Amino acid sequence: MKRKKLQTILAFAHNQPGVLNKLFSLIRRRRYNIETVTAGHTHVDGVSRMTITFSHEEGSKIEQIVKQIDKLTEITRTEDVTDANVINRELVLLKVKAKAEDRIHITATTEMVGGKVIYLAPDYVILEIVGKKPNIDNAIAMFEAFGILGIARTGPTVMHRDEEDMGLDRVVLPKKRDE
Amino acid sequence: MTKGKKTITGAELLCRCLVEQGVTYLFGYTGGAIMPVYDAFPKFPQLKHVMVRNEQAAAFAAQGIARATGQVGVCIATSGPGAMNLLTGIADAHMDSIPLVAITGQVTSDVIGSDAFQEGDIVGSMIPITKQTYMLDDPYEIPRIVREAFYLANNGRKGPVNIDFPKDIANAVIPDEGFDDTIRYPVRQPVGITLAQLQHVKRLLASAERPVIFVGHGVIQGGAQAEVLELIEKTQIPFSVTLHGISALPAEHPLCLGMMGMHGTVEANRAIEHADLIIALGMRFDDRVTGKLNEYAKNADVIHIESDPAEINKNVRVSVAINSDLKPALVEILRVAELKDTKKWLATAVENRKLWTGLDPVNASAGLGPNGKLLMGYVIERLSEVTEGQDNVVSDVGQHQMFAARYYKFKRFNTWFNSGGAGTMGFALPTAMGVKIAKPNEQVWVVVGDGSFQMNIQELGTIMAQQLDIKIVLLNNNFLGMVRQWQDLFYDGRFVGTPVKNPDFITLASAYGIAGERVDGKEQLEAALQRAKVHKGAYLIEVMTDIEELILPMIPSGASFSDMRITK
Repeated sequence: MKRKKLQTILAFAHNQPGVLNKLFSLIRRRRYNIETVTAGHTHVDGVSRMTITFSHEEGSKIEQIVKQIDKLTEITRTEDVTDANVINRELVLLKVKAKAEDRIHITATTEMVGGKVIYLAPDYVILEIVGKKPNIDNAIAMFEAFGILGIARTGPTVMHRDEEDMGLDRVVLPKKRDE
Repeated sequence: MTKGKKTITGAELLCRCLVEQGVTYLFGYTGGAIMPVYDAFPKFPQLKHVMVRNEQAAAFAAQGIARATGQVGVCIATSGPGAMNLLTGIADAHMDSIPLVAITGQVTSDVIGSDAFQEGDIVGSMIPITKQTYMLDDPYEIPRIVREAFYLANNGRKGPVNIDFPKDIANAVIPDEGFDDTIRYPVRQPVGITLAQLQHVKRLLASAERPVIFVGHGVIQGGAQAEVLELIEKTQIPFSVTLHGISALPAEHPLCLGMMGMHGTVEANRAIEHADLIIALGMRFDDRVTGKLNEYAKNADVIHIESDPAEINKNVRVSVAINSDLKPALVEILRVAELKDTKKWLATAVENRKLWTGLDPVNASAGLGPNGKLLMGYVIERLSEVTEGQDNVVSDVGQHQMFAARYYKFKRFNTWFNSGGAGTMGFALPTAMGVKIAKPNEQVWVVVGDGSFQMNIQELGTIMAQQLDIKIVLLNNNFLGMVRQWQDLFYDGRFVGTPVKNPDFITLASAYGIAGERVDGKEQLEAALQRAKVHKGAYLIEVMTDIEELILPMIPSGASFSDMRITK
């Protein structure tokens, strides 16, 4: 088996129904595995941002799939940001067993990994931690000794440190109709 | 709300927008969900509806119009099964970059998603096989979506677009004003040839000793045939054509090496194998063209000019990747291109051509196969002579397709039509209907095998009803010939699922009022072709052909050019 590699793609798109469907269909057809997707609005009305990570065998033609994604009608701009100068953050919600005597240790550990306790129940806590994927992996490991009851990860979202090309030359937004 | 204002229904608005796009012919089949649109047709006499006998044929007939004219073809079907029947023809258009707009009826908006009668997830089904799909669920969006659909189908890399149209939107009555038809998705223009690339091309052109120019579908779609011909003649570089590049330039041009790839000519494939420079124009290095990729054209620098950036460096790594429309790039290249001394290189090609001519069963065994029956290659050669290479040929998929590609000597631009990428059997008969309607004053010949003829044979009904003057050359060996050939060569002659028990085709055609005759010998053939040529109306010639004929040469699937088999 060849080693699997994780790739991060940043795409901007018209916020229209079916865009994610098209994107997933394309990635599936190329036989890559989608690991995470985050999508949301941007500061431009009608334009969404998506960060997609997928795994593939080393040596696959990533350049090709980026070009194919870029061809989808609603996509305004696609970029492989795996090695780009971007901020990359993921949020995890962690439900951890917390007996009374463990709480103080859990709070201390949470602080050390830069997280926050956001919910307290008699026998467990929920934490939120934001960071890069390896930092989050590492933080989760720190809580395993207490007993993990649940993990909710968003997958990474990225933003360029410098100016971002959202492909706005490909964005024509129709006038809003008066009802 | 609508009081005192002029109103229009969704269906009428759709029809009016189609008229505005210049649509004349729609091929289709009515049904429950699309009825309101059909009901509006009589108010728009410019729209001529041609009823087919199965929706798949509507997609192909629309392709016929598109392939013959470069305009967007239109097909229309009802929801669920009607739309589902279109899919094969749409997928075929997607593979061959043919501009289509497919309008499909849909159940009313309030029941979409509830498994209503004749409901299908058409948007979901169409996404992977179209450039764009729309669920048209707002009547005010009709003008925009129709305009955008035609724009997207025919700009950039061409392809099919689907508009799924719920019945309640077709029935909606709205004020006839205040529409916005702004196109939201401007198609990105190719970057064009850069100065550095032009210098690189110039250097490669100057140093190459064994150059070949590849002529692809893009030459026809981009209308760049004059520039390509000028480059070929100015440089004296020989050219080879892809399956879809056929009829871009005259087949008998002295620098033409013929078709490349799996069933390409010996001279073309040998030239590619030994080339030191390939100039690929508007093509995508499909696996039928390249064979084994890591051995393909190993010694050649490749200059690739292609308008779709996703096709560059996809299969073959190129030296100069030019993302450009062909015409403007060629105009620049023509400025730096110079006459080359290719005499020695051409002499090699001539040697290879002679080698093949001597071995070709069409010559070597006087047009007859091992069982004394006619050879398909010979039949096509006679057809080419009788029509002087001037007519339109619509071929189906199989051995006969490769024989038509190789033996018909196309003299006129864009007169060859066939399913290349998808290889869809059943293509020829319905596509020919569209070609004939687009070119009513030209002769249209269908070349079809006995297997593929029966895949859409119901369209004889449409040909009858529309009185289409289509000449059908049915090459009948009572076998699925191409698969039989693979069984013969690679499966030790185990002919599984390939013999065909056929009906009496002449009687069948006559039931549709189509005249015809059966040809079972050399002496009858030419006269039959002459009779078909002058006959007023459709005509079927059923030619009994030799079961053991092979289309050669052949590069086995996934093999390299050095493995080309010239004889069995």
